[in-house]
Amino acid sequence: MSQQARKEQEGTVVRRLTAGAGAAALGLAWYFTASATSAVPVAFGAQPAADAGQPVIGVEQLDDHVFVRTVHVAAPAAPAGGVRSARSASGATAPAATTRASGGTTTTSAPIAQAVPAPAAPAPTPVATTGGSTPAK
Amino acid sequence: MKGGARVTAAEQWQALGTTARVVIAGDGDVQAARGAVETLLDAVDVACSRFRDDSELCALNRAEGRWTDVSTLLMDALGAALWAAAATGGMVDPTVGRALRMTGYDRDFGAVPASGAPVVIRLERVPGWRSIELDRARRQARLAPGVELDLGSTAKALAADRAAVAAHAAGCRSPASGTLVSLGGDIAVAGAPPAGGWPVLVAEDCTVPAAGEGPVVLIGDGGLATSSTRARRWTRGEVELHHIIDPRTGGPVEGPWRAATVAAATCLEANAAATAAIVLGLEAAEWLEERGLPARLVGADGEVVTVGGWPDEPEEVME
Repeated sequence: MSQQARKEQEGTVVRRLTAGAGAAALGLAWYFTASATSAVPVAFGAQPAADAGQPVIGVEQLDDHVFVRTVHVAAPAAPAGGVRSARSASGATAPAATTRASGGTTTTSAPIAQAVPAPAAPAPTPVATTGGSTPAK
Repeated sequence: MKGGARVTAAEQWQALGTTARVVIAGDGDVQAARGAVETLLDAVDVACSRFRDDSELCALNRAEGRWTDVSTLLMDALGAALWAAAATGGMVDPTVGRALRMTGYDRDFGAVPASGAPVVIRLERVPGWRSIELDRARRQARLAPGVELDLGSTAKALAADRAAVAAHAAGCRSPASGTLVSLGGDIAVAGAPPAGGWPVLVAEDCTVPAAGEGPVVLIGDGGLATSSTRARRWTRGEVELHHIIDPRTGGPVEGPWRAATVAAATCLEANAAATAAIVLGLEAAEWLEERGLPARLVGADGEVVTVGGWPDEPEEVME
């Protein structure tokens, strides 16, 4: 065994002994053990939202007494169908863009050749409003 | 987006201190859908209200560090709040209850005086979501002494998600029909959307009529939520206050965004991300982009920034 490997092995043993002795001294070994073996007897902090998917729980055993329990909470996810603009979804043909610079020059851009646009379908009427929650007076 | 049924009926009423709305697309019974939503919202109010002395949440807030029995519904709401806190790095924290109360938001918002004498606000970091303990096996919760919870936003969003499912189950008569539920601008959908998707007006205040001015987007699934510092404002002394608390300071957020609208897989996720965006400030756009969340941010000066695939808005043509 190389000197480097021996040092790493010794370091691991020391860390385990330190962690185990420290936890035992603090009377916490029962907690780590209980947490690891019975999943969630007492859960501190992160818990999954009921509809946000289950967290990934990992348990690493350092020695006979010390377990490290990690909980990975799911991040907010985008909707499967995304979000679209009602304007483009309605089938309406976008008008040629017209911009006016502050100096008064007007520029209109449009394709040189274009098909006769189909009649624009009416934009769908919104059925709800999203906005900051204000009580109705 | 699949679907194709037309919107056929809608109902709107007051609940949870704001406006509830249920919409049906396709063959359905809107009254049955409304009934299911009302039943759910009544239960949410009893479990999660900060303004009812008889609510479970108030009992938990008064427990002074003792383990307290909670219903399955409150346990789920606490779980949702803790998920939101963990997923946003603590930017959405349910332990802001005391901070909100100290700023004057100590009763149902409709009863909060619009103006009043100056208040002394001690700015300090809120206790933090890690001071909440849940024992799911015994269905008990414990708060560190002095901690007061406010589940306002996450409980409402969770309620919207569940209400959409309940409305769909009770009110839709065919697989081709669907429901949309809005609770004060927190929107969740279930079942098949109308052709193209559910058209929703994006505003800074949920009381703007759906036919009002503003961008309209289409969603086919999940949820949509907006957080805004323009809503729920009140004045103490000469200082204008609002309801979004920065957990790092314990005071109302002072940031570059006055509104954030986010679409996500659920309304709960959308709500958490929207509130986090307001609190995060300048980092919000990057935070949302990293998570691939479609979002629309409105700056204090009205400038609109879109990220994560949110549709671009046509620039106003100058006359």
